[in-house]
Amino acid sequence: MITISEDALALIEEKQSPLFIDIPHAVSGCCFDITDCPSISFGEPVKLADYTKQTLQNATVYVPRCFPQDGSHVIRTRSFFGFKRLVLSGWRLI
Amino acid sequence: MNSLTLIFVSACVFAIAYRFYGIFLAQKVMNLRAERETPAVTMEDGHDYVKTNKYVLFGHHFAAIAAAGPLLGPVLAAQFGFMPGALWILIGCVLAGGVHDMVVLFASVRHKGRSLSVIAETEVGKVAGKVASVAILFILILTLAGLSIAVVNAMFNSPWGTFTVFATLPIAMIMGIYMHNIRPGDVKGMSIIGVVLLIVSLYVGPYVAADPVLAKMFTFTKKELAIIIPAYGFVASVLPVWFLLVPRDYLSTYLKIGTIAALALGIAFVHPELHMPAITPYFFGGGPVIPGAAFPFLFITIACGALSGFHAIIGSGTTPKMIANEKDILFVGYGAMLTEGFVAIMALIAACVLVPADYFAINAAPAAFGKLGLAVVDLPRLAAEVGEQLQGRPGGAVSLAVGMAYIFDAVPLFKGMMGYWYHFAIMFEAVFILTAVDAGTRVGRYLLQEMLGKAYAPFADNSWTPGIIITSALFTGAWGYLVYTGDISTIWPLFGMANQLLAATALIIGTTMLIRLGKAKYAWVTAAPGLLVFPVVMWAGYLNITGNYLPKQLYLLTTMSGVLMVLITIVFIGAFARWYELLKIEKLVTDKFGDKVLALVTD
Repeated sequence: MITISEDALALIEEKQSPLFIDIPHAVSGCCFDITDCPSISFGEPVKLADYTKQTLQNATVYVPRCFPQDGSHVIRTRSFFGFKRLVLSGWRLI
Repeated sequence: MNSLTLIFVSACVFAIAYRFYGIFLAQKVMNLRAERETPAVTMEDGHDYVKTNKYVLFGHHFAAIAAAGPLLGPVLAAQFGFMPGALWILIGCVLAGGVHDMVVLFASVRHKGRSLSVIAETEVGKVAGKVASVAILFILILTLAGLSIAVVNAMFNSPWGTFTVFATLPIAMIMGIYMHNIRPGDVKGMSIIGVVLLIVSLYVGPYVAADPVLAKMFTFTKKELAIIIPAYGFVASVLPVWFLLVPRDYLSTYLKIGTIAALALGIAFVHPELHMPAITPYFFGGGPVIPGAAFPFLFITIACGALSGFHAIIGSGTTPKMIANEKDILFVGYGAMLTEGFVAIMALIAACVLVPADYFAINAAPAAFGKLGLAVVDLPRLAAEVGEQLQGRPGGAVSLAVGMAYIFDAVPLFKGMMGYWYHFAIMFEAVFILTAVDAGTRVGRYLLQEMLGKAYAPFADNSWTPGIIITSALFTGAWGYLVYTGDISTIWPLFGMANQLLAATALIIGTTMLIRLGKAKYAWVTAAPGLLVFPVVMWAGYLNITGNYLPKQLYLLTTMSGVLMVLITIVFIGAFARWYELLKIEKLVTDKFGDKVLALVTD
């Protein structure tokens, strides 16, 4: 389940734009098996066919069709040198 | 002896083992049934849990488990002669490694695709699960150090080799940007770009080495590389995966499968004589490559080629979530391990086609080689042909590359291309080792974040930038320090020991599960290799501490060995206690699959 935190909702409101979660990339090349946490961007994804359009807490979010169903994920903001960005919490790398 | 004889014997042993022992494991021990639905069916999400064709899944699983271990371990073990290594690969693969991979995959499939530490927690107990997690973190550090040392030894004072390896970084980035930003989903276009640029980098390599300015730029000492590679690991592991890791992983997978297939064809076509004797005078110790006798050091030198704990991470990672039919566990788990054993045999052959004096000149430190009283035979010619100084490059990567180049160069169409083959082999080995460095640093950082998060909550947040930087620095600092201060004779035995102890642990966890499933009469299939490997590896660890580390005053490695041995012993004690509890149960219960079992567990 995906939820959006209050601070993230405020940023989305400010940007007035839908957002999309990047496709998670899996790597299992040599000894290790990981699926890295996908990034979140404002706008629409290039390949819409790979996504489902969802409305979460009044925000339009494009979620990859392959997004894991189990676990609880939260879209939040992170600030780095004053620049705010959206991040996904609760992702399990392995 | 001709190498073809060894190939033929190995093929026969593996085929017979698969046909008889593999089917026995599948039918009698694990009772694999097509009608029992797998997590890929019951939990399908189109992402992690995906029903996958067994041939495709075999390729995925094999590419993930066939890493540097099956290539470098047998090359280092050639110190004892070709026979000890070949025997342990054949016997180990059939009776230990294949069983290990299959039982872990089976356990994970029955536990909804969960990881080994979660399975340990469920089957053995909470303490065992927590201890297994800490042990895995230790093992990660040692693995990255062991693999990186092989790359350091292959790249120092080698501008051609360093240039081709470094060139793979911008090549992967170009591929990543193309695939992510320019033409998303165009795998074919990305592959063409990657392959063309790799060939160009190989072709340009000798010109770089011949140019005084460029050669100076790409010439590094061992110490410099021992700083550059961990620094690379730190930076690479915080970059987005699509930018560097995913495209390079893609490249490395195809390079690996292609090169291994080419090596198999090359050996079959050239069928060179093995110059290494069946048993060398170093069988009882005193060898310059591995610091000890074949028994027990062989068992921690050939790690992944015969039995590998790392396969437990893959076997309880993505593969169990993709098994469409329980019966595929035999083909994917046991079959892929036997194939890996075959790869290990080919790596052993590539090392043993070299004249022994040349092999030792490459794999021993110059001072140690000087004491052997051997004179190199073909090495000056080989060095001139590959355009590199080959003597005193221990770690296995260089002698493997020389052996591979030697075999490929004997194919009529490829004559006169020794330098290119050698550097291709170095690039091939370095590319997937660097992929492991990148992915392994991410895994280590993640585990460290989870642990530190219990003391200070923000660490557990995988988007907290200071936490990412601190844990990445701590983790790369840990294995980087080992690379900077260690060498192959100190790091590889510890890596091998850690890997084998993890494998023994996985076998014992598998045994616990078999007993719980009411299969105690078949529990010997996992208990026997686990209980045999455990004391042998502990003994090797003890000898390594007393004969190798303490005389060299390597107290950090001594401590790490000791801590690891204690941690694994705790898991074993927990497992024995659980066996005792289970074996006292007389009344069977029916589990959700309709099987009569001794006890039920909840995932």
